[in-house]
Amino acid sequence: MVGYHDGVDSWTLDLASGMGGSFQSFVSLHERSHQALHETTAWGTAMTILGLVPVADQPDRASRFWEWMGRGCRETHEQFATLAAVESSTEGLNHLAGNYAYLQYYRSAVGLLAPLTHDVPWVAAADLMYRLVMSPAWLLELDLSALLDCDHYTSPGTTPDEALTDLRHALSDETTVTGLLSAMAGQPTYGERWDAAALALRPHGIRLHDWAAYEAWVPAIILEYNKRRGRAVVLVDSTTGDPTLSRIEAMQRERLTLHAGPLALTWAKAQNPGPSLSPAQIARTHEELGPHVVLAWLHPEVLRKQSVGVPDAWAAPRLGLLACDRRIDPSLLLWVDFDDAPPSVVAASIRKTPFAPLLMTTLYTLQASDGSIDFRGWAPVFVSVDTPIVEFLESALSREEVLSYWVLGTGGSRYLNHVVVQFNDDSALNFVYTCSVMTSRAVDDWLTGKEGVTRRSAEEFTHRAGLAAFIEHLVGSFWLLELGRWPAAPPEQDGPLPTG
Amino acid sequence: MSPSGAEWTEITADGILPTSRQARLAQRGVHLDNQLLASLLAAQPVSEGVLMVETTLPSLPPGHLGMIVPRTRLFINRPKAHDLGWDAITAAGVFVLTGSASLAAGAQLFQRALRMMRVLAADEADLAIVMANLSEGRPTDISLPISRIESAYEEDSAKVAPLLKGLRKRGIAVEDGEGWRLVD
Repeated sequence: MVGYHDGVDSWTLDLASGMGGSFQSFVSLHERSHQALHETTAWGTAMTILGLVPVADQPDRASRFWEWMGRGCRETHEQFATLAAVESSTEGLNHLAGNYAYLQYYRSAVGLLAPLTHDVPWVAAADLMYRLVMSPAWLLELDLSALLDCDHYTSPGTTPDEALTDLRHALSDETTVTGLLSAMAGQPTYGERWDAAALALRPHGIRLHDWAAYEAWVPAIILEYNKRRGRAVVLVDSTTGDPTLSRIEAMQRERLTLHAGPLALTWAKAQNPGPSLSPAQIARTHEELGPHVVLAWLHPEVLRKQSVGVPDAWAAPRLGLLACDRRIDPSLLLWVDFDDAPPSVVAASIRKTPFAPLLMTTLYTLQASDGSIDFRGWAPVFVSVDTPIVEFLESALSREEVLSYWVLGTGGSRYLNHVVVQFNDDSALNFVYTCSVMTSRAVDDWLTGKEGVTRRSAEEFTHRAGLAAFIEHLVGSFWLLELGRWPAAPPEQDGPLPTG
Repeated sequence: MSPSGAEWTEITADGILPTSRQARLAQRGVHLDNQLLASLLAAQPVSEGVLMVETTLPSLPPGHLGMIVPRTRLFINRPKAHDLGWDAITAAGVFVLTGSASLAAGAQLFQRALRMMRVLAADEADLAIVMANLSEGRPTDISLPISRIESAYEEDSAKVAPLLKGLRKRGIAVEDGEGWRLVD
């Protein structure tokens, strides 16, 4: 498994195998294409909403119905995503050498669209044909309650994969092909092209919804869903506005797994750490930084995401020495706990030892921290961005803050890029978004040319040794990188935290 | 999807091309990457209904759409392959991959190569492949002295000149001052 889409609203790349380079981007594109097909069709919208409704709020049959929907669009999804990933890169097909199953998806997609692609670009043909089959008319007869109440045993209607088979037959008919080409070339708006194409397929028994019905159904079902508890769904018109913003908003859904699973947490109070958490167990060395310890200010939810065995009583952000030990099986995450001791005081104490303190926290932790927490003496601080980066940076830019950023790669066993952001020429606080190459490109494209934003060259970054060590620790200790998915929204923070 | 019925035969990538033809080409210096050839043919719509993949998917959580490298078994429908002119199809695959290790590059050239192979007899197709091999994948750009081609054929070198003349007659090969090349 190199990557998967969860059938709801995000996808995951498995980087534990060391997947990098253009293959990583290929898989990223493939999974992103699943998301694109999901979020722009009635079938995908229904699956997303059904998948987001908390399990406690839905009858068992709703989850079985969701599973049925997933099975019913697999071929359609894989053909579309494989074609999109291959055709988006000149070398794309090379990544499928020896992977006959996906070559077969690709072959099927190319074969399906061949009658159309002599006259229209493959993008236009794939975009319309695969979205059409993901849009059965019967689905729009269901509101949210009906959707939750639906039972696939009663055969609610055709699935996308069944429609895909019908479409293949339809495309062997010259009159239909002429009708579809005429629909694609002769109609000025997407909606009109959609309706004309759906009409051309009707004689073949393919019953698809019309565009106006879809435009009415989507906001209605989202409105109905948002009245319930759970993650909100936002309706976005991606045909207008800044396309680079749409792209990064999509890409920031991407999750990266760095290891097979979370580590077990071994922890002790700083007053009495014991031999398993002695300085020798916690201290690390780095060729440029030298001997050091990682002093981390982390929300317990961050620790819970990355490890198992975090005490239930831990509720607020806390200070600790963090390390991981992967020399033993199972590997451990080590934490020497200072509770809520002032970070500046502990950092000052560490500086009196042979070890330098490497200071890290996360954006979620900072957003949930008391504003009065004393961070003086933390310089440089590396803040791992773990809440949606677009909202974070847009909020800063709306306050007219000046922003410098770097896109840096680091060596090591995981192929990752890091978008490092500093505000108002304060080089102490470094917000680090660790992500795939594709996602870093999307951030880069979105930030380029924005007022108040400067892209800096790698040579201008003054904390390279510290960053490299921070990344090494992050990749060692954390198993999952994702933005969001926290149990409760943290309180708003006014801006970057002061440092001394 | 699972191919069923007597007409389907399980093969490995090594079995895409008949052993005798592989041996003949190897004798003339053409060494194949069979997995790449199978991949190229599996990606071509022309192989639908001929080459089928049976996939064993690892279990995924419901609804998940995994980008995976699944366990696969290859099957060929030999009667249908025969009807479709499988020899020409495989020859086109070998031709575009000879001298170029890239699946993507081979796929771009495949259709044109197939049109050529459809009009060639087996020994003519082999000659075109040998020329592609000797020119490192550029048989329409690089002219080859007939002696080089003949030396690849070793004891069968006497076959080369008549074959080349036959190709020239049909507008598929030309002879210039430096030797022989195929026509684009």
